[in-house]
Amino acid sequence: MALTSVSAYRLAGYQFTNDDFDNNAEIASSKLGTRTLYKTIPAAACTLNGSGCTRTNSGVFGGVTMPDANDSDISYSLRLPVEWDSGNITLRILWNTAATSGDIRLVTTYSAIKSGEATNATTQTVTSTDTADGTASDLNEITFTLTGTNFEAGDYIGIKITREPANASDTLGANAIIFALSFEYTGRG
Amino acid sequence: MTITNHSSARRAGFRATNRGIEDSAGIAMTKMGTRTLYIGLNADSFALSGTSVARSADGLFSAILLPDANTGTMRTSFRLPAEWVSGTDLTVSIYWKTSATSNAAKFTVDLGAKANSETTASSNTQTVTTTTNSTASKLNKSQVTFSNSLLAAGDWLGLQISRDPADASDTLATDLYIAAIVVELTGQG
Repeated sequence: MALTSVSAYRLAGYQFTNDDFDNNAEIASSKLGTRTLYKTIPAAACTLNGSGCTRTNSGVFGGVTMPDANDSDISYSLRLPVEWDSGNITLRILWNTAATSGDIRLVTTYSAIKSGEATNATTQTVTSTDTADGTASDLNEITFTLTGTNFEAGDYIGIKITREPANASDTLGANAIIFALSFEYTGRG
Repeated sequence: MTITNHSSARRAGFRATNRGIEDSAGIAMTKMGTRTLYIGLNADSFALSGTSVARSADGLFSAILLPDANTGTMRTSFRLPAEWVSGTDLTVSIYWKTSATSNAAKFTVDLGAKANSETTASSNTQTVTTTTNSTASKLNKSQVTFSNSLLAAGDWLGLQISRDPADASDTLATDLYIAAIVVELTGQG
């Protein structure tokens, strides 16, 4: 990005002073543009709930089993990264299964709050499905869009991922292993 | 950081052009420098396997017990940070302690660097043998490096660390505790 004028620098967020005797402007580099960043949580670090929802592995990847026999969920708390610069957040979850066909259905429930707000304040729910890879135990990714207007700088986020295998949209017919949660966002700097 | 003229802008890595009609220089931001990034993985981030392999409190530290009686393995999953600089290696540091005051522990570290639809198998295996501190319970550091040739932007990483006390190189003859695992890499900006 080429900034060719004082106004362009200001629009890009730079602090701009001119207290030198020379002809050059002094630019405090307090902002360097934006880029896609990731905040990743290992699934094994989450709080687990449900019979058979236990830490396990597939190959060298550690994760958590979300069983086909009953409902289960994993939950976590984190702070919205300070680099987040508005915009939607894509939650990408890595998973696998021994099944070679069928769909998994997961529900993401989250709440973004600040000190003084209730932890059961307004919650958002996003549902997504993903089809298993045709090769057993190969990695899959399921994605959710978390609407940016639900977040404010400095928020604490509580998030829960739920599997309800009896739901008609979950046709996997097998256990799934969740490995990691990756929050992709547009970040400053 | 305050950049006051063209030469300081160039030294900081900016391309400096002067296409504006006012006195300020136009500075194209093509480089932001690099720095070491650290990913700290605590005991809760891992799925454990092996008899007596367990999470444990060790003073102020949460730790993982890897026993001397049998093989112990710990596995986790996370994502290669978006800031990772392509072409730079990845280092895994294992911080551990033991009551022993002599002899060595051997760790086998596997890294899986995978994209969607790939397997969960190891991409590469490294081993490290480290002699313990001569003072009981002081923190030791064992380190391995994985080549950048294994990595691609956006990869999911599976990390497996195991101890086989029956290995001839593991002469510690006592339990040890993993206090922390830290992944180090070079990041942009």
